[in-house]
Amino acid sequence: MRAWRTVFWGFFGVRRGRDLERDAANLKPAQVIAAGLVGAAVFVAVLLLVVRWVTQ
Amino acid sequence: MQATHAPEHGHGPPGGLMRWVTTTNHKDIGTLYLWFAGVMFFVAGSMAMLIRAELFQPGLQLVQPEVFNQLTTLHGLIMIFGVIMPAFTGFANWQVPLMIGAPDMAFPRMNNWSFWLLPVAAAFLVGSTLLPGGAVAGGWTMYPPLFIQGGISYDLTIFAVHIMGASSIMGAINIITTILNMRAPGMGMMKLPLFVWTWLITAFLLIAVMPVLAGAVTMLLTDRNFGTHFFDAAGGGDPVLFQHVFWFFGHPEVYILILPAFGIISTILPTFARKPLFGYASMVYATASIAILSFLVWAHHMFTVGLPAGAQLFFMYATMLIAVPTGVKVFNWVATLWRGSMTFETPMLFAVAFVCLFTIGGFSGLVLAMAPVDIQLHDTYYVVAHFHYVLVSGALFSIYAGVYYWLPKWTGHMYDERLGRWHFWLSAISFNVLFFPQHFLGLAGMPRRIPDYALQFADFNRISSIGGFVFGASQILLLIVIVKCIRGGARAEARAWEGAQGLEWTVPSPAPYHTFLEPDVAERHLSPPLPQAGGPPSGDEGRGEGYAPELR
Ligand SMILES: [Cu+2]
Repeated sequence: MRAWRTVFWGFFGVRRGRDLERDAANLKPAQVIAAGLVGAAVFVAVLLLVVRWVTQ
Repeated sequence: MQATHAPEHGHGPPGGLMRWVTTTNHKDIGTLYLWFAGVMFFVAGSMAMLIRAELFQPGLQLVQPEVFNQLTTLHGLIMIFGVIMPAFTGFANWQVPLMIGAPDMAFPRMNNWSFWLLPVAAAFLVGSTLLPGGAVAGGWTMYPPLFIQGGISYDLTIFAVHIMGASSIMGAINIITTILNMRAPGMGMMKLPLFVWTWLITAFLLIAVMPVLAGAVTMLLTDRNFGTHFFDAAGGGDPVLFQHVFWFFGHPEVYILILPAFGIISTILPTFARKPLFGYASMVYATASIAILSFLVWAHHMFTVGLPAGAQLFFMYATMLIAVPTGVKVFNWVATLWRGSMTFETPMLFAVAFVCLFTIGGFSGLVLAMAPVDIQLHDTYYVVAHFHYVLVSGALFSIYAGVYYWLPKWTGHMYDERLGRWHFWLSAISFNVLFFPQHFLGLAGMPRRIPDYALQFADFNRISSIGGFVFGASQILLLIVIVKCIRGGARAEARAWEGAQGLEWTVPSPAPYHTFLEPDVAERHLSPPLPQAGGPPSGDEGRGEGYAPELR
């Protein structure tokens, strides 16, 4: 769950310093990378949906 | 690590030319990379001068159209693969081990090999001008069918691209391994200086996309010589396929050319604003998301090839969204400067110019991201103006900033500040005279890659060429500054800049041939003041998410 939140804020690009501290203590790099790749896939899926909705 | 020669103390480099041929020392190799980039910069820069001279007025003056096309193609290829990328690798070689407290790069011999491949590739590229038919003239993007039809120099160029790709991949492996495995005790990942972070991510991008480029040019090679028809419509192939493969490499390549620049700027601004970098963590996240998103936008280079409307929309939206993390970075840089006690030495001047001018390049990129607008502007001077704002006032200015910033550490002398300022002001002003009018030319419809043009484009081309000549001449100043600085000048202290943070400033200037042989040296310096995000809390904790507290 924490990894998801980290990645979400990562895409947005801004994060609270305090949260970073907790992330750095609790998260494994593999978790963040996996969440990042899934996040990218979700990003693509959302864009595709938007495109479909716009072109209909 | 084990390949380094025995780390006995105080032994210097072997003398003579063999020192440079056989060196496995990260500082020597960094120096080689930087000088190589400098030499190639003047080679490709002279080509740009010829281009601007030809375009000074309408009609054909100096060069034939075939030669003009060779000049634009080689200028692009050399500036990208022979100047910007090697210069950043040079910085990485010098600074990454110094910044993370490692004694050298992880694979010193491979490091030597990745450098010495480059002059070979450069010789192929530059030497091909002498071959029958001249050098490659199909544009740096190497599109078929032109690139399938050309002569022997096209094969040489493909070979050169393979070699440079191998060099980049080896360099990237070296950098990743060094950063992941050789950090001094106490140097956690979220304490890495931002330059190290940006290079780590860049190195992953390199490993991901250089093989794609190699694949694309290999398909060109087999189409040319072995009877395949990957890109030949007459044989059932598809030339547009090449564009897809090439730009799947090409767009991440754009970030390979700019992420290390972000790292350099994020190092220099805090030094001269005497404040920690604002939003260290968000800078890391933004860099990572830019890297991921950079794989999802490639077809914005191809809006005119006849993509389905849905695909155009997808790539348009994705491209516009990638501006968000980049915008976060610009915001963080401005917030770093906010209320800082700033001084404007030459590195800071170039860094501030970077923030302003790179942002202009980013905005014109957003303009081009809109598919309907791009269809108008595709292949015009607007595009040329856009990527020169990104690559000259972006990547190149960051290299200048970094050179001025670390010259005292490299040479042990302060550079001539007065000459440095002249270099900056002449470059910054003439750069804009050179490239800003090209926006107008592009909007008016002047196509790129042509040696002659219609009369209505004459005025802006003349202004642009004048700016170009001044810009070109000003770069000789940089060479003078560097040579003067190597030969003498005021002694540089270990911490050459008052506000400089980071392990590299704890070793003497010039940096000894071997540094951080004992890891605990780094550890002592690491606790408690930390590089990059270090420095005392400025008293107002509530000023936002500024620097990550765990870093103190
Ligand atoms: Cu792109």
